[in-house]
Amino acid sequence: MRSLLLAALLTAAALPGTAASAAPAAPAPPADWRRAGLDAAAQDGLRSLGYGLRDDGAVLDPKTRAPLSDPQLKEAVARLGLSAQRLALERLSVLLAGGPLTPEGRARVEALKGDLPDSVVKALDAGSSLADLRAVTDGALADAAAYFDASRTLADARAAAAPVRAGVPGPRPRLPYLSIGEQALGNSLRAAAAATLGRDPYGRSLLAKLAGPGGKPDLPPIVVEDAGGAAAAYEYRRGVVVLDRESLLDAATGAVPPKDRVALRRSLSSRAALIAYLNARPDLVAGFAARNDAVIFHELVHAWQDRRDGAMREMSRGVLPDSLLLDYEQEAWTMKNLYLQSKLEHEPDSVVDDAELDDYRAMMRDPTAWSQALRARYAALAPVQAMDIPEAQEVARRRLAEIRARRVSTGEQQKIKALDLLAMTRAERALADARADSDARLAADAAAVKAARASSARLLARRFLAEARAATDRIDFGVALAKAERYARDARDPALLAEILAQKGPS
Amino acid sequence: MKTFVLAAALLALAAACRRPGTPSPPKADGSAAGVTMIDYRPADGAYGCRAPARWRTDEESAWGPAVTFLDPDGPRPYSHSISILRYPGKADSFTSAAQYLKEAGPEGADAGPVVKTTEDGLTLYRYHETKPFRSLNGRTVLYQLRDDVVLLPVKGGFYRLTHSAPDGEYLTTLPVFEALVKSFRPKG
Ligand SMILES: [Zn+2]
Repeated sequence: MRSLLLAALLTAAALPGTAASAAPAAPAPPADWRRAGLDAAAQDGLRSLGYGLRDDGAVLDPKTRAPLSDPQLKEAVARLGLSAQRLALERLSVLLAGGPLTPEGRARVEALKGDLPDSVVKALDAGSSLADLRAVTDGALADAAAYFDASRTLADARAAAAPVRAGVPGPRPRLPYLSIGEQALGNSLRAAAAATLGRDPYGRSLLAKLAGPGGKPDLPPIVVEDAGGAAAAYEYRRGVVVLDRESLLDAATGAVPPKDRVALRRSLSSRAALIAYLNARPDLVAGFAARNDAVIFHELVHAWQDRRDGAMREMSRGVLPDSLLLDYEQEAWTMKNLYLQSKLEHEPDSVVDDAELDDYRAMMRDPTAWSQALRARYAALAPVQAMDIPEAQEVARRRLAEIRARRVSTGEQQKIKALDLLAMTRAERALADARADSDARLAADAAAVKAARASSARLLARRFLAEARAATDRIDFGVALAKAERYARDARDPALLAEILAQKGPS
Repeated sequence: MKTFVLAAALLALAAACRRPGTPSPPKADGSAAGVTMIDYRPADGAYGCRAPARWRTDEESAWGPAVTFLDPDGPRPYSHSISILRYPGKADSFTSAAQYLKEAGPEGADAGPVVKTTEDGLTLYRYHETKPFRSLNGRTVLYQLRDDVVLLPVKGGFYRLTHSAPDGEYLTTLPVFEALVKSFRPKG
């Protein structure tokens, strides 16, 4: 029930070595994340904070890139859990501020319980009064905030308060690559992604949004890591697109004859070996980018949002909570589908028949239900992190009030408080701006989808008719033709349907 | 963006309780399948209905008036939901239930036929369909999601009331949906 926090704390407790037992004179031995038994969530969490998890077990610091010691790893994992706990407490505090909990409010609290501290869970389960609940929540929040405040120096506060120009990483690590080979692969993946998107007008419009100072597309760094089942992800903490190592491994082994696959897979089991293999085969890299362009497009929309609005920058600095903004997700999924629509118009045989195309079809069939289902999916799968911008604004307002109420006794504390107020006020404004723009963007996207729906089924029918014509075996031919027929019926296009049916011939 | 999906998964393990095993008809006291129902009316007052009191309520308006009620209980919290959508929305051009059924009606091998009924003086179209429920990144199919859909024509458009739940367990909360449908009254 303790979810990520528990996972993180248990893992931390299981790590060998503590600060107290480490000899002060000798440097602590490097930590090994495999030996420490970090679960997938803790690994993901560390990676998203910029830590490098090397195949040999070493964990590299996000800024210095030096290997962590056991106590340092333990600290990092505990911090990860506490940051999830803090967000759960903040959401609870916002709910309690609205007066006595409604039954519906209680249902929302239920979803947060997994990340709340025991004291608060006990108070909730005991049916404590609103005043008691608020007191215990505020106490726990003060503890969590104090943990983060205590570990911050004046320099950290200055860094978080300093204004950051759009597109500049700020306190984020400037170079997310762990080796020269990884950087070379990252650069060839960026070039391949830019080349693929550049073939399509809608793809080019996104590249233009990601243009650097010289006007050329400036894609974020691309790293190859275990992505927990995702083919790709945008991580705003590092400002990088992560491509899934397993997917790339599949692409590499898929390109050799079946009899050689097992041996190749074994020889590429280390990340370094896979990177070296891919660096020697630019065609493989280009092919991967071309086949996965829809997911890469989606993640690049997040990169654009990150450069466009301040919200993710403030999250990466810890000023705003680490959350998943639903308006951003809807924008990324919608634009990905408008990209597929554009490809169906301009280069239909480059559109891959995969889950992304299924999602495109679902959106075009009924955008209203698609949008509702998308949000419900995030609510079910990420109940603590997923929120809309107004909810994030409430949490931000709470944080601002907390900083205002903070008592200070030294000159340094006074300075930190002033800097925190500055950072938080700016973060609040970033959310307000994002909210104002988001409504207009979602409306514009809705209009674009509405217009695209008129031709969607016909474009799909044509794409699958072309696939049927190019098929070299009977089964592929039959499957593609059946899809073409279904979409032609959806499109209510008798001429196209007749053209498709004529392909059937005598069986 | 990446999230801690594990948090949800572990939470799910702990919350495996309170899901009734078999469906039961709405009770006289207004509860359905053991779920207390309360009156619900959206901000614009366009309709009124009974809705599950303890379920989370998401009112989002990105692409048109919509509300979703999500069940916090069961082995997978929020995996059972009821939504009320009003058409036409901002991104579609469906102006009638008949047009909707023709262009976006039941799809897939498991889809049920459209049944037209008259209930309490209102014309309803009912059907169900099943589709894959995917992980956040869209790649992994977690389970099959069953949608039980009711279309309810009104002047200038229609409502789409939907019960969504994992295919193997949708019957447990279907009575909640039926109670909502039975009480649904568009204004005017
Ligand atoms: Zn996304």
